[in-house]
Amino acid sequence: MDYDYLIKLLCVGDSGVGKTSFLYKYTDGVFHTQFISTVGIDFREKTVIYQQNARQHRIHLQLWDTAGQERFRSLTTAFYRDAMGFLLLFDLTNEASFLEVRNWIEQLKTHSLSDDPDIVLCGHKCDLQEKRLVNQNRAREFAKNYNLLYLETSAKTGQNIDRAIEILLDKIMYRMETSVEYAMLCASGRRRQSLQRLQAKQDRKLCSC
Amino acid sequence: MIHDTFLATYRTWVSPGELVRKLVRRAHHYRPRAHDLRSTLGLLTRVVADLTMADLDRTLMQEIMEFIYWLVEGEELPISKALRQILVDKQKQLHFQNVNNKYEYDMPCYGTVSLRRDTLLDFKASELAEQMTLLDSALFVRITTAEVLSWPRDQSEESSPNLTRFTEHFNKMSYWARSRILEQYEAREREKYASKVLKVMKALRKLNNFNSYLALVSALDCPPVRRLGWPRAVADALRDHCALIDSSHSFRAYRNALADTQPPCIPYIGLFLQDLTFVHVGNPDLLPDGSINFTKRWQQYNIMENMKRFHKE
Repeated sequence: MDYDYLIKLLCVGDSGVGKTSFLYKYTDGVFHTQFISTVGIDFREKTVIYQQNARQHRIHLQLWDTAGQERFRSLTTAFYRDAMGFLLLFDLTNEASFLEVRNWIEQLKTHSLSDDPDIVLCGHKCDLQEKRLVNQNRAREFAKNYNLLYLETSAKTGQNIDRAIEILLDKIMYRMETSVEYAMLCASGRRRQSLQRLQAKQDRKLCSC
Repeated sequence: MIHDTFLATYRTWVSPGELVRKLVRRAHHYRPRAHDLRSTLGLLTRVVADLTMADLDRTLMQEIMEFIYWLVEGEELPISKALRQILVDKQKQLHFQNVNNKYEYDMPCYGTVSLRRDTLLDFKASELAEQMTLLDSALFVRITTAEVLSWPRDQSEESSPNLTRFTEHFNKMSYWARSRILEQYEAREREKYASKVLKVMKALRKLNNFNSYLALVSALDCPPVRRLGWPRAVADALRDHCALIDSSHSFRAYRNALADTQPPCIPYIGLFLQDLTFVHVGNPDLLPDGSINFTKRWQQYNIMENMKRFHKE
C-alpha cells in the first residue's frame, strides 16, 4: 500500500467504556470472520487523505486499542511508546471511568515518548442521555485544566467519531510540521553562531596583527 | 462439533442451572421416545461434567440428585450411575479444594525472598526458566473456558479468579525482573542482570513459555530500563525480542510464532482475550428475529479451542 505517513493512534480508557466499538464505527468495521484466522489483516487500519497547506498527504492510520488486555498492564504500557497520539475515552454513563481519566493521563505521560503527548478526550456513549452521569460542563472544565480537547462521542449514532480522529490528526501533523521547522531553525541558528565565532576569531587575528 | 461449540458457549445466553433444568424437563417429556431420551441424557451428562464448582450450588446439586432417582426408577441404570459418579467426583474435588485452599493457592512470595546470599546471578538461566514455567503452568491449567468466555462481558475478578491470578502473576514477574535490574547502583551490575534476563528469555522461548517470555520482554522494554544506556549486545538482542510483540498487522509476528508451536506451550493469554473482546463487541448476541446468533458462538469457540489446545499438556 502506498502512503506518505504512517501514523499510529492508541485508544485508551477503562474497560467497558466502548473503545472497540468506537474504532469499529470509525473504520466502518463490518466484522468478518477472517480477521483472526488470517494473520496480518486488521480491520483497524485505514488510509486517509490529509490536506495541509494546499498539499495532500496520504496517511495510513493504524488504530490500536488494548481492549481485553487491560489487566496485562506491564505489557500494554509498551504499546504507548509506539503511539503518536491518544484517544482517551470515558463513559458518560459511568462516573468511575471519568474519575480514572486523571490516572490515564499520568500513565500516558509516563510511558509515551513525549512528556506532553497529544490527547483528545472523548466522553463516549453520549446517545444515552437519560443515563448520563457526567455533565458536559464538568467534563469541559476538566479538559480545560489539563489542556485537552474535549468531544462527546457516540458509536451508536456516529456523532463526532470522525471528528475526534481528525482533530487528533491535526494536532499530530501540526507537531510534526513544527518540529521539522524547529529543527531547521536550530540548524540555521547554529550555523549563524559558528559564523559569528569565526568572525570574532578573524577579528582577533586582525587585532593581533 | 456443534455440540462442542454449544457446550463451550451456552453460558453466553443461558445459565448452567437453567440449562440443566431445561434438559431435565426435556428428558421427562421424551420419556416414551427412547432415541430422543438417550440423546438428551447424553447432552445432560456432558453439561453436568463441565459444571464448575461455582455453578454447583446446593439447589442445583439437589435437583440433579432428584433427577438421578427418577432415572433409577425408570431403570436407566447405566446413565444414572454415570451421573452419580460425576457428582461424587465433583463433591470430592470441592472438598479437596476447601481443605487445601490455603496451601494450593499459595503464591510464590515475590519481593520477600532474600537475595542476599544467592542472587539471581547464581542460578542457571535454564533452571530459572524451568521454575518460572512450572509456576505458570500450575496457574494456567486452572483457567476454565467459562472464565475466559465471560471476561469480555464482565471483566469481573470474582467470577474469573483463576484468570485474574494468572494476569497478576504475569505483571508481578515483569515488575520483579525490572526491579532486579534497576536496584543495582552500578551500570556494570545492571548489565549483568540484564544479560541474565536475556538468557532466561532465550530458555523460556525454548520451553515455548510465551507468557513469562513476554513478561520479561516487557520488563526490559519498559521506559525506566530502556532509557539507560545499554551496550550494543544487549540493545540488539532486545530489539530482536521486541519484534515478536510488534503490534502491527494484529500481532502478526507473535501469531505466526504461536501457530508454528507444538504443545506443550504456555501462550500469552492477553491476545485471546482481545480477540474474544472483538468478537463480542462486533457481533450481536441475538439475530434480528430474536434467535441466538450461533455464528458468534462459533467464532468464540474457535478462539477458545485454539487456546485449549495448549491446555491439555
